[in-house]
Amino acid sequence: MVDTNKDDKLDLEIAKRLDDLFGEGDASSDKSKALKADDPTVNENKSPDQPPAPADEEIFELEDAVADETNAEHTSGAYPLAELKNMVLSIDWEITDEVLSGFLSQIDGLKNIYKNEKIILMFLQLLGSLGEYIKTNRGKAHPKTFKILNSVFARLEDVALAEDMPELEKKKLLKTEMSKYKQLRKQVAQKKANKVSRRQAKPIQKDKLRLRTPKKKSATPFDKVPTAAESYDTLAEAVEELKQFIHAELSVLKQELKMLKKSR
Amino acid sequence: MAFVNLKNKEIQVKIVYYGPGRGGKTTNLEYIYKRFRKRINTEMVTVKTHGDRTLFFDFLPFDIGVINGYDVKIQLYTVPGQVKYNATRRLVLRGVDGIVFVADAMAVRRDKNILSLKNLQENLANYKKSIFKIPCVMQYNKVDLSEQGIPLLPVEVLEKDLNDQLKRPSFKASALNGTNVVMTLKKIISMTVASIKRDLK
Repeated sequence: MVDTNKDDKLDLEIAKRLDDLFGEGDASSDKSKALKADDPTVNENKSPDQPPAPADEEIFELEDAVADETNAEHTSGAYPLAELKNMVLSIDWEITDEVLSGFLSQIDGLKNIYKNEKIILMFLQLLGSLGEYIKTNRGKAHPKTFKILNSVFARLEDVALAEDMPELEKKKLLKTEMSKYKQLRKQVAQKKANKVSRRQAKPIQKDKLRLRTPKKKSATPFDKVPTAAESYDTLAEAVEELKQFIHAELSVLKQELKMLKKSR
Repeated sequence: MAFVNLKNKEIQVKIVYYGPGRGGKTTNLEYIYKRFRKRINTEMVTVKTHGDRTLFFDFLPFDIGVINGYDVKIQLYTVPGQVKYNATRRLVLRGVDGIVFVADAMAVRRDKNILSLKNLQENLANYKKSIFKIPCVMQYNKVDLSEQGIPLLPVEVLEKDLNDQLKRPSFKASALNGTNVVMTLKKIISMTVASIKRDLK
């Protein structure tokens, strides 16, 4: 009994402290308020660990959100770029055959829909080329590719949605994206050249890396505690990941510096 | 188990935001940092790649003051979500006290959420921790995307996929707009501190 009271006290104390720190109070008007408010949780009462819910939280109205989703499903049907947008967002974080095939076939379909609009067609061609490049190179594609893919799609949306946008403005947007694309192509070519020369200089580097980071797989999730050796392996793998990352980042930076020097 | 310094009467609580890549883990921390920076009086450490992805982890420490005679320090971490950085994720999970699983509510991410949750279970098991026992809050992020016509998974589907067995508190959220970011944080802190207190008994 005493313990329960103590637990309640602790819960209240934590809740009060968190309210002080993270209560909305004077905090500037939150964008979330535009997203409606009522019952904050979807399923908050499932855990027996929870303290009493504080009252002044930022909140979200579930029913309205569900209604929004339903409406969105209806409206997405009328918007020809909706599916392509999904595909762009998917490519942004994971590259699979399914997503890339879907992306490229969406582009083919849209080329038919917009066959009389030259500028939109050009945007679609740009996206198609980027898609093909990603399909070939996958995770090894230049990191900028994904930013440019998003940027080209965003401008395409601007052009396709703004009915009263002057032709000149549309051309300007296309030109900007085109130049980003061309710059990317140059950087990719440069990267390839660098890789070839590096391989020629250090042919056994990859094997060395493999030897340094042997991978061990635990048989089943719950059957053992990690040993010191395993911890070391994990650390070694993480360091290797970091090294590879830093290496990739540095080579991109080097290329950019070279480009900058050349442009001067 | 949290780091407890009996001499200084200090408890460090480690909370990790876990979930698939591009799900909004970093955005959660960024929102908390930007909005409450003055109150929590801290700095956020974040390392990003060229493509704006989390390289190692994000780290946001802050102090919530003295509770039950102990100075409680909270440390929020994110992990890199991309599949290939599992070793890094495993390292960040070392000594974790509470988890926020940030699921991506986009329909196209359904499988990735499930894979990421399984990956969390495996990585916790590596430290002999059970996903069924560790304090955990589910966050279904990106609900704001419905306004842009992007198909989202209904909450019932997300719950069935991810929370059917775990039965953890869950929130629909938009880390970008801040919707339910704070609710999620408050919930996980409360649950984790209560759990640590139970362990200390």
